[in-house]
Amino acid sequence: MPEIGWTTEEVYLLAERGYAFYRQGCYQEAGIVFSALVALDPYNTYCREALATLCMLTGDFPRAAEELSVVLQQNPANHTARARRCEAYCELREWDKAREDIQILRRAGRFIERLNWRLQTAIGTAGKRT
Amino acid sequence: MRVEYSLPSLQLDKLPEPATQEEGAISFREQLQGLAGEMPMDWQQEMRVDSRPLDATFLDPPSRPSTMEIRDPQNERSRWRSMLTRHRKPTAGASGNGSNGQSVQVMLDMLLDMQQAEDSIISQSSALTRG
Repeated sequence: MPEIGWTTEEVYLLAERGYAFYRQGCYQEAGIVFSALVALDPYNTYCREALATLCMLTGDFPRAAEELSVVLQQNPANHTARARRCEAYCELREWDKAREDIQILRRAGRFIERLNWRLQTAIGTAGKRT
Repeated sequence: MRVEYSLPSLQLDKLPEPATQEEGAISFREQLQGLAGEMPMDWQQEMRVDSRPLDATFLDPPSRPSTMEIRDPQNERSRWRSMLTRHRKPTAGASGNGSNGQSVQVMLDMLLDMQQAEDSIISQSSALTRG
């Protein structure tokens, strides 16, 4: 439920505008819209996942992982959010946390091949850099 | 030399016979059905870009609430305007409370600036059109 004074329809209209910004590549503007929407409707999974996506695109990986952790607290069975968080952990070089998410997704049989590849690539890249 | 400009009259008995079903011709309905079966794929399917990429940077569009009625574009614009105007006041809802309220205010300011820019472009173009 959104904050008092705001309706579900208004949240949708704003989310639609934020999505349009995202499609146009205006990630900063989309991030502003979704940050506000998360404040207005904290239990809206779409808005929080969208904000995490925009954080990933703008390089704010800690915030992305944080927002996705909130989504997973609300619903641990959200496999898409877990796969996204695994990618954020790969960017943050938090290998153990990334592996933990992969283990959970392996049991569910979702996104495994891509995430394993993602993790191996990230470890390989980090190894070359250091 | 004398040129004959008049055309000969139409003689119905000399017209070629139309093709009949007995000669193996396909009916119009059958032709249409055949076309429907051979419709080319959508370009997105053809290029294999229709499937959802497994990527953390991909976002689906928001789903419209079932209670929300679809109006014509003019009404949608007026609804958008009235929403921005209504919530511009800092006393409305969360717009004036703490850091959450601040992020809402930042969004509203940005959207109102964009709205004003859009309005000025429209008024300029309409002034140019009028001459």
